[in-house]
Amino acid sequence: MGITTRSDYVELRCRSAFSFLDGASMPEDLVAAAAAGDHDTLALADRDGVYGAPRFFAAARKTGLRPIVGAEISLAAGGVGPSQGPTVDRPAPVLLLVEDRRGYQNLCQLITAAKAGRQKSDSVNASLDLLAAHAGGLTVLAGPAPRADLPALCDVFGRDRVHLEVQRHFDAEEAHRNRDVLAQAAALGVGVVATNDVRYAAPLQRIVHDVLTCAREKATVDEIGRRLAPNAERWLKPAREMQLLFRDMPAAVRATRAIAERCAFTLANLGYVFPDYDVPSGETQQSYLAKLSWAGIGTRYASDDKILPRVRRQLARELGIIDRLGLAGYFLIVWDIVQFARSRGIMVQGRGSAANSAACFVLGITAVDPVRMDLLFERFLSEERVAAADNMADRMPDIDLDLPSGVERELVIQHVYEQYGARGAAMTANVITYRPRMAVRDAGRALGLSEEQLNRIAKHLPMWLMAGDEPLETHLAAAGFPPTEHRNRLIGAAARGLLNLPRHLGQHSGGMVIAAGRLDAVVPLEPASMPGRVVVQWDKDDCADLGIVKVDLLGLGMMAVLEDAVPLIQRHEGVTIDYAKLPADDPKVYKMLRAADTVGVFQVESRAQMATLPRMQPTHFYDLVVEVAIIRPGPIVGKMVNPYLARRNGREPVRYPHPSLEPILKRTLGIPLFQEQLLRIAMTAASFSGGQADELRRAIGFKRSQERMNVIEVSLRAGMAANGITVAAQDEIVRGIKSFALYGFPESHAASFALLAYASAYLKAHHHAAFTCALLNNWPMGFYHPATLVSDAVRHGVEPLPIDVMRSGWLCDLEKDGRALRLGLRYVAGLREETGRRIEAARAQAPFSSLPDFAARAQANERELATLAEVGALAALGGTRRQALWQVDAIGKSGALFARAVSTGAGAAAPLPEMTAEEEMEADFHAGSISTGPHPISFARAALDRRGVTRAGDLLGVRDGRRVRIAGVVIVRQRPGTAKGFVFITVEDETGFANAIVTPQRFAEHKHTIVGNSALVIEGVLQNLEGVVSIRADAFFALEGFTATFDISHDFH
Amino acid sequence: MRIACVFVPQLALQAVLRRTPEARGGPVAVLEAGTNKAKRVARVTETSPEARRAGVRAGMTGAQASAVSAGLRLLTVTAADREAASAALADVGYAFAAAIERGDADRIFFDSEDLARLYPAGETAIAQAVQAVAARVGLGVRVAIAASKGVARLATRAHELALIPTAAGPARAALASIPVELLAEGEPDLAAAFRRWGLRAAGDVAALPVDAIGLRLGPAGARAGRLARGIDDEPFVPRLPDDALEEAIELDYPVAELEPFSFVLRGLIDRALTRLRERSLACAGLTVRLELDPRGVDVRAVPIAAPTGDAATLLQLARLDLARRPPAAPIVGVRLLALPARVRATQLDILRPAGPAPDRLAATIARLAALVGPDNVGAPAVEETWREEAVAVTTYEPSRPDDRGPLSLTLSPLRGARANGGGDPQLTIRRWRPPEEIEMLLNRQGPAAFRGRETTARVLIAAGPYRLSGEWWKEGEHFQRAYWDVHASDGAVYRVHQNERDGRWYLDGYYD
Repeated sequence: MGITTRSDYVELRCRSAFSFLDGASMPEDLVAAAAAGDHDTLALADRDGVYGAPRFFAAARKTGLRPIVGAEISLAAGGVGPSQGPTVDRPAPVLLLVEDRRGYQNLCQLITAAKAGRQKSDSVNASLDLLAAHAGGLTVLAGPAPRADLPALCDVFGRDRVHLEVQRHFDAEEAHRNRDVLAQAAALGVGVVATNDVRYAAPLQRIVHDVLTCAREKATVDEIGRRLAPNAERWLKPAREMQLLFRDMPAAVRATRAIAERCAFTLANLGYVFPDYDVPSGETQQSYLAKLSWAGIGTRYASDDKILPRVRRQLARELGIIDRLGLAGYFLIVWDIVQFARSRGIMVQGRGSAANSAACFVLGITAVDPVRMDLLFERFLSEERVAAADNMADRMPDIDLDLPSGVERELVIQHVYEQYGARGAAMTANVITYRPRMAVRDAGRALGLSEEQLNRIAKHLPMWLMAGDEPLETHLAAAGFPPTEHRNRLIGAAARGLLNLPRHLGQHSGGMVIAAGRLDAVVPLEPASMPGRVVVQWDKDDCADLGIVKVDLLGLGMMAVLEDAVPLIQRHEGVTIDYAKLPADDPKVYKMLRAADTVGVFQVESRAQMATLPRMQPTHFYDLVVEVAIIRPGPIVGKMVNPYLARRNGREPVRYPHPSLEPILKRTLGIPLFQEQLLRIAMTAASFSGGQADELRRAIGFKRSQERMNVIEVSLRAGMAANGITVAAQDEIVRGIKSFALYGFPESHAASFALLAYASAYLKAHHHAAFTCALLNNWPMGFYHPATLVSDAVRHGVEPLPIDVMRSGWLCDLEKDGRALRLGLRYVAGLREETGRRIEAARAQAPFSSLPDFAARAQANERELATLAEVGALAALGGTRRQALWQVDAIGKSGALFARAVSTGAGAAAPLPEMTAEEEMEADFHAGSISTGPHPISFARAALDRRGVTRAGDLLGVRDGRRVRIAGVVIVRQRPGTAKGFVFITVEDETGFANAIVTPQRFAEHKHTIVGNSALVIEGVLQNLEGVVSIRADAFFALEGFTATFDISHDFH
Repeated sequence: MRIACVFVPQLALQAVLRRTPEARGGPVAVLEAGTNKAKRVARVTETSPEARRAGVRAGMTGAQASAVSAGLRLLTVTAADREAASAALADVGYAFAAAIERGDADRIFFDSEDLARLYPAGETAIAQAVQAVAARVGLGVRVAIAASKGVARLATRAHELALIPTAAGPARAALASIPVELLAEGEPDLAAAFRRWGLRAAGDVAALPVDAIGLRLGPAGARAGRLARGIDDEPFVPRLPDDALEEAIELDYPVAELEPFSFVLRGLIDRALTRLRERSLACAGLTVRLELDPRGVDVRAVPIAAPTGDAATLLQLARLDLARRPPAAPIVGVRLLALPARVRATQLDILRPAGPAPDRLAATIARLAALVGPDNVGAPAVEETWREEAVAVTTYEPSRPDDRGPLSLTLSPLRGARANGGGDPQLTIRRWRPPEEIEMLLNRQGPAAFRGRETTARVLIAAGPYRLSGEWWKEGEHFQRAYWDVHASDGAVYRVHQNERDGRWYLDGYYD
């Protein structure tokens, strides 16, 4: 290797794609380009934030590059004085580079303060006072042009910390600007540095940057003109090339190095501390936790429970570990959140590995008894892992709480804000990245496609592109945009460049981070679009990487359903439901599960789950735990589903990769299905310690680390070899372990979910009407359209009652002692909730006496009145639908003044033709998306019979291998990533569901028919195996008369 | 009274096809620019059936439409096209009646009762004759004859040819099958309301009491209700040809050349203008109707930018139009329709030199347009692109100072005026169009000497390179260039560039 001398040049002005829509490269790509270009140091300064800093830091640490943290801050108009900035009103932004921890804290607090109270989409607006208050530890790059506010900036930051910039992008204007910069710098005695204002890693990414610019400016390439950069020079050029470019200004190059030397801060040292819980006087964190835990045993177990000694032993062990690790405060804080929820009557349940902890169980955080289920505590918390952890998050156990989605979860979130202060707690961000549809949309829009064309393309694109999927161009061609056309080719290329780049910042669904002291000194906070919410600038993985602890407060629609069902059942059936005391292993529940009669049931309602249940034949709770865990990408890709079912049904003998693993795998018939088993296998087969095993799990779960996995695999195999396990058995074990890289479940998590699944199945089996009612009131949630939920309820004997302003509230409700389901006004399309609530309130005062009376008191507008009439909701007041419509149209036009005249005169007899049953059904779907009348397919039944179509309900009786025709409204179209391009379609008719499987080739041939129609006739060969019926489909026809109104399908999710 | 309604479906498409007959039968889309200044992107408004079959839809931009239909012809409709088609439609009317009512641009009405004697075979014959005459002037029309305007109009929405009886009952029956969407055309809310009521056709609407409809759907609803019953009280207001002065001549022998025909035309124009002057009016529009030999009519509207009383100008404009689109056959008769208007009084700017008279200017521009094509006449404007030589042609409007500032193709490095130096002189470049390819000798610093067709010089000082690249989205037009400003040994400062995609050098121009 030759001797190289280090270049003096350090790039100090560089944006990543985290300057949303104004940077075209990921921080990792910039780091790679920097390394390739002989940079030893690089500063990343995104616009108004440090969004990309964690990923930049992580990537830099791997390659040995020194990362400097910075941000470009937009200034307020007039705050610093007039200047020649990009607009007349606002001065040019300043770039702030962090020198030390104090500087970093100042930068975070400066951004937080500048963003506070602003709309999410606004850029920050830092005033001079704000800069002055947070100037310490920061160095300023003031831009590549002279500025009038330079003296003011010097006053604020100190002359030696303010620098003007010279840039050379082979742009003629720059020569002038650089001369002026030098003149002003000399006049004021400030330094000058060379920068390249990098926007992308390599010149070719200029196209992507241009497309992003178009998206930002909301213009097409044909309109945008000189708002695009004049050339492709803003890439991360090699250090030497930059040094050569500024060879006539060596001082400006040396100055970059001097600044870089001064900026010694890195994110390795954030100064984050998790808060303590406020314990009663005389107690320590640990003593109080112990007190609560021991007291909790009394509420969880009967005094004569035989398991108590084991529970006590386990709890004592856990408390010891918690004490030694100093984590009592964390448990108390989570306990406090749970207590708060309970005190408000909000259902709450810990999920994930927390369910492996007896402490969590007795504290009421989780609902699964880990001792009784023999769950592995190390999966939750291991001393070795904590000892080896180099940051706080690795030390902290991971407790996620499920709460009913909606208002109640918000209550809990606001409680945490109140508890820890607006600057002490925040939601984690969710970086919204370009997926295929959005990428093609932005690229296509920039290149001039119309919204209609973009919609057409979007229909042909998958949500995600998986490895091995067809390239984007193939999807474009399928949508009628062949790559032979120049622009279509470019759209494909640009969209590919956009894929996975961040587009904007969202809010994570439930991750909250809490800090002792000020969180805004650790990471900038910004207002979310949701009122009252504050988000940190990093996503949950970035927070975890940097040691910031999060508590997930996740909204679960099913929790809300379970909660809502209780009062319904109480009120209408006089039965009190206590989910903690549901009868175990209820036969009716399992019979229903075995028949895959699970529409609406938590976790087991999907098409794949339904196809497995009849083969699984569950009879006990643990079967449900396995069922929840087995239909996951991990076990499916790991090819564990079929062997498990074969062993369960006795078609294959139970065997173990090694006799020593029998105790671990016995419960799952020799097949590893849970993460805990994986840990235990490693501990037994390879003699791993609990901590090592957990490290193995984390390496697998850690999506960014292949090397970490490789290192561990070597020691895993070495350990197994030492224990005499054959290579073949090793391969089997390693394959099993690796398949969990794709979302394997911990057993405890599966058990927590299975509890909810059981509870919801219990409701469906015993209180179907209440269950459907609660589902409808919490929709959107789950897998099926409300129309499907109602059809399913009807098939189970629930009487559906139409929307009726004399009976319906805003929400759906029960009648006839809980046997009938009354649809609520929320299912009237276009009816405002305020109107719905007003109808409820007015009726409570006095029943409506007539249509004019209703119109006057409900204050519904013309459109709302007409829709109510159309769906038959005015039947009790105005006769048939068209009679009511005839009247409300008159009322709507003439207003309340003539309402009485209308009621006595013209409205009395409507000369309109009455709706047929089919028209009524169509009106229901059109104006409410849900109908209590006959199933839409029943109207086509006579014609379908003539075409030899078999009813869904009759399929079970058809012999395997027969050719059949089915027809129905499409309710599911899915192409799971694990299914190698196969497409699964479910159609519904008046008798139930019918499933079809489509090969990738057939799908390609019939894509337009399959995707473009809401009801289909499907032809193919019937497969009837183990009680699972499906059709291997090869021909598809649109069912005429079913317009987009009937589009109720759950597609490709 | 029997009223005939003649309707031109897709007027814009038909108007451009009259101008571009060779495009008939293929996929054609009409492009029209929006009126909103910010969104002046031209979009497809009407399409031929062939284009529709290929997936072209109204609202697409030209690029979008071309993307779905390879052989598509995109034609831009101008006001003149529309006016000409509309005038031709009026002419069709005047061929049958002394007075007509011009409804919208695409529709006329006339009283057909008097034609019964001419067409004893009945109203079908009248309607067919109207369609035949329209076809001769390049228009495909629908014709309906009814007792009232509104009913005839409604019938043309649904039928190519319709005869609606006068008696109320039969009229109602004849209209009964017309879908409510056509009955309520132009008023989607009304159509939606009828659908909601379960009404599908005009017959269903006719069955409802009109006042009840009116109560619920307002005056528009009531009107539709009456119309469905065959009742319409919209007054028929026929007019003679717009006060137009008509001068006509029949020639003794067919004239096939422009020069001799100009003499004929001159006489007609003079006569018309004399009559106008008597009334202190000028001519605002000229329609020339040529009777062709042995049969056929050629009608053309001569666009006039400003009312004029100058015979030479009018003749010039008419001659240019004839020269651009010569008639298909020798001329045996001419009828001239001159539209009267008050002369525009032009208020001159006291501080600006008097420009050319608007009418003369219009004639000059029309003449230039005839010579070089309408797209090549106008005021140059710098295009909003980094491609330095890009220039667009915009409408020349001398009365309105160009708000984009003076035409300036100045180049940045030598531009004296920077952001704050308002008073500095500006350097401008004289540009070769297209740039001249040169041979360039390079040294380590850059350009050292070059040789072009007329210039050979050493480079004394070179400033650059200034890199400009872009338009990667235009097939074959993606540019990537390195520009230099060179002070050459011949004393001039030149702008040169190298095309970095193929290495060739070009001389762009020199600084003044």
